Amino acid sequence: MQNTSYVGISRLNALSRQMEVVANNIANADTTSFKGERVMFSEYVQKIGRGDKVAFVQDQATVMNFSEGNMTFTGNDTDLAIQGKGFFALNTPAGERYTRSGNFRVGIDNKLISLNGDEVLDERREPIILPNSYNEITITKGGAVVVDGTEIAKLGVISFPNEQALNKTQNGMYRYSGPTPDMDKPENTQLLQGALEGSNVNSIAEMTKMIKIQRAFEGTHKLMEQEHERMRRAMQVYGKTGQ
Amino acid sequence: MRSLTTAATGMLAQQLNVEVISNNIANLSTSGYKRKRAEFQDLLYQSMERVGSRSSDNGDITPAGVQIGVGVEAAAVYSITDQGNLQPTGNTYDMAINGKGYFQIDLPTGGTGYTRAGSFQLSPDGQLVTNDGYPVQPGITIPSDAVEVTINDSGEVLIKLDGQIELSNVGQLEISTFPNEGGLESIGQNLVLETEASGSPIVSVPGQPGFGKVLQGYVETSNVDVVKEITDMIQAQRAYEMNSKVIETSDQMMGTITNIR
Repeated sequence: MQNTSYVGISRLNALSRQMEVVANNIANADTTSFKGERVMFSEYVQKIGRGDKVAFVQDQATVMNFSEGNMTFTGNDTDLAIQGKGFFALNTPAGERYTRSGNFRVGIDNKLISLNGDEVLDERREPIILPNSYNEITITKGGAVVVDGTEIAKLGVISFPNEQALNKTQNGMYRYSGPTPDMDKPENTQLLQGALEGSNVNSIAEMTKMIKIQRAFEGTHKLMEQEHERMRRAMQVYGKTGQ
Repeated sequence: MRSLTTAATGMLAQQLNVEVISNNIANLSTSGYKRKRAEFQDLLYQSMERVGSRSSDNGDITPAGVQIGVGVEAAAVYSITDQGNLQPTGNTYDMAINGKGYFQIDLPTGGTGYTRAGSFQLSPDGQLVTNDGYPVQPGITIPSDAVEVTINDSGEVLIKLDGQIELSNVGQLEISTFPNEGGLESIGQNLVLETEASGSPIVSVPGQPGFGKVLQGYVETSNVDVVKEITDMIQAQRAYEMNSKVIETSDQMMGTITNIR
């Protein structure tokens, strides 16, 4: 008998979860290489006897949109953007992590590091060490790191068969729980020096989604209110008959 | 509602973005200024792992769980150290570095500051100093009877005395490079300081491999690109507005919850 209200509550819960995901997308509309997310809903069907069924709503998963963000040109020699599929590999204290944020720096021991200080790995999973002083650093489309005309290393680029299996950790990094894949750069993936990949969040879509969420939220509230009203009236009517 | 605080982190980030952009625009004609860029990162994710994420009895698992991010943070504000334009001034003691490197300046507080703004002057006793009167390292003194001062590509300071034919060498300018220029700390007055992140300075004479050349009679302008800064500013403002809209919507949704009977 209370099922209408419970279905409504399941809907309100799912909607507020969805709102949180939209808020995170909008907050990260300017974050380097951020990938937008959306919530996937599914039915949760319960039998309530005599062949009747009630379907609740459940948020099953957050799905990442791995389409490419816009390229922003920064003019910084060690900023890299990946065009096409693939991730850079970082050696972090917690194990190997993957990222598409190519905002790299040169650390104090001349190693190429990420913004958080983690080593950037080359093809052989070794850190990339630059010479003490140099005039020019060029990174080719194929990932070769060329310092003053000499190739010193090749950046490692990894691609995953199923990118949804990656887990976002933080700071633009991903964790992969499966077996560690080989460093094989997909053929049509290219690196762009002096550019960064922007966030792929589509602000217009997110804003309209937000309006829809709010309306659906109000609608569900309305439904629960009417159900409440219906029960109140039913009780009045049955109450009178009982006298 | 997590979305309230998430949107608040977004507003804070965009505010910082506008602050960095406005400082770039304000320093449009500061010689030797390097434009700054605010870099953002997503904050940590809260995983809501579900019992229902097993999709069948023979062990198939839906690969993605429900992960909710909690916003954005500023990761770094770093300098973009590409070369500014070289502007001719015709001034004897104006020097620009074409390529990598910083002039070294003796700070009154002790220690060494570094600058690319080479608009130098002479002190009352003929020493080469910055606009603030801080001496350039290594100290170079120009005799008062010099009629002509030439500074060549490799930083040699040559003077011509009245009545003499040959030039005489009165000093050698030196410049420093750093393993990571982005890690230098700006302290104002066009000066930067060495930090743990920048690494120790590598000192050499100009023109050596890996070091820039000195150009007399030029100053390096700032490398700020106005068109880019203005478009960035518009973007930052819109992003700020959108985040505030998220707060408003979350507030209204909370209002709706309060009215549930």
